[in-house]
Amino acid sequence: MNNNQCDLLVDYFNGQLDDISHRKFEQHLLECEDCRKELTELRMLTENLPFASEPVDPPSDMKDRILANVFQEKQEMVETEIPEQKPAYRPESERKNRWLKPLLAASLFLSLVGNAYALLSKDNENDTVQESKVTIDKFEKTVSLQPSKNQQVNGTAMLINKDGKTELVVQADNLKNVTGSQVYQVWLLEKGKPYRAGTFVPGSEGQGAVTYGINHPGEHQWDTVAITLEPSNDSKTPKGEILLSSAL
Amino acid sequence: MNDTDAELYEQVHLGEKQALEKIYDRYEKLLFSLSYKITGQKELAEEVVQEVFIKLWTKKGIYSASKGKFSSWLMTMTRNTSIDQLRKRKEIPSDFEYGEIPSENPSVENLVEWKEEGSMLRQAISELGAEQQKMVDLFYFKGLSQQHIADEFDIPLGTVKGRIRLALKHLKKMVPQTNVKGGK
Ligand SMILES: [Zn+2]
Repeated sequence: MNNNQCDLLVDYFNGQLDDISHRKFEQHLLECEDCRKELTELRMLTENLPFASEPVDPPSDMKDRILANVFQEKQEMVETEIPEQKPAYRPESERKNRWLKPLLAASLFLSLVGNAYALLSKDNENDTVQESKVTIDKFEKTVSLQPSKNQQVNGTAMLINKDGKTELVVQADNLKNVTGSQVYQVWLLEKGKPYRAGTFVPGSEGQGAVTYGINHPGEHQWDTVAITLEPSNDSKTPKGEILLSSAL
Repeated sequence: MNDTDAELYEQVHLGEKQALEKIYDRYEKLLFSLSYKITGQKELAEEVVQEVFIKLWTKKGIYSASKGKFSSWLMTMTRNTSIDQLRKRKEIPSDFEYGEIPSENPSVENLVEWKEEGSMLRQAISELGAEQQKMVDLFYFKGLSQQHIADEFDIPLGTVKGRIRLALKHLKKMVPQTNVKGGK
């Protein structure tokens, strides 16, 4: 029995044991001085090996991406009443351009295609557009989120300019309750690449909201906002299906 | 660059974003290079570095002085995360050779310790016999299971641990000891 356990040291060191065996081995470590010594020795012998790595330059924009994703992890869920807002119109020419990009994104995110089209046609109804451009207005943009097929959910996303910084406010209704560690995750997409943009869990009425200060550094052309249901609050890319989305 | 890692980590603990950014700037390249060495893929390496820093940021108290030197701990976490990622994707790079990173523009180490240790270590590794080189690589940098290593070398399972220790000890002997480190 003991001998069997001692044979697991290498796999323990390399994290190759399943949870149960891992815990069993840690128990064994408490009892087996040989294994403790060997483990200490392995750690000592390998301590500096990472320095053998040949230097490789990380992508120049990696830092921005990573820190933005890291710092949004502390984002707290806020339950706020979202006031009714008039959409902020843009000049026709500019709007046209902005609607083209979502289609590119949609080709990557097939489930979004329908929604992008839905928005396109909806947008066309508002052809009488004011020529005034939105400048430092508080609300940069409001979009209603379109439910994916078979979803009863609905919601709104707003981009708000606050002291030169952009905040994304997302609100949704009719959300299913979460179970276990599930959370609703908001994503901002740029050319099909998702960036985390707020996490929330709905209240008992199925309503949820989150305010997210967009702090992904650098120039970004967000083309889509989407909400998914994720198994836990640390998904780096969407694991769940898109429930709600809209072109931006 | 005056703050020590321990001081910075203390501030991270208190929610200081700038402190985390300083740690990031200090170790980005080393951790990325380490993860790239293990995974062989830049995208995966980036994901690993991100995972490491998310843990560092969100899991308060994940590091403590009892876990040894901060940099060693950070490197170990990066190594383990890289191996995990590889395993999740069930993609072990087929290229097990050392020093075969195809790099269009050669880069340099940005940390003193890395610079010193790195060249000595790579030199020492290159002087190991082919079998022992491969053993260090498969065990440490690929994190293979005992069984997998036994298969690779076509040796009995029971002899794997001994062979690993032998290779590592041999390597240790060949690296000149610069100073006494906390490798207790
Ligand atoms: Zn034992």
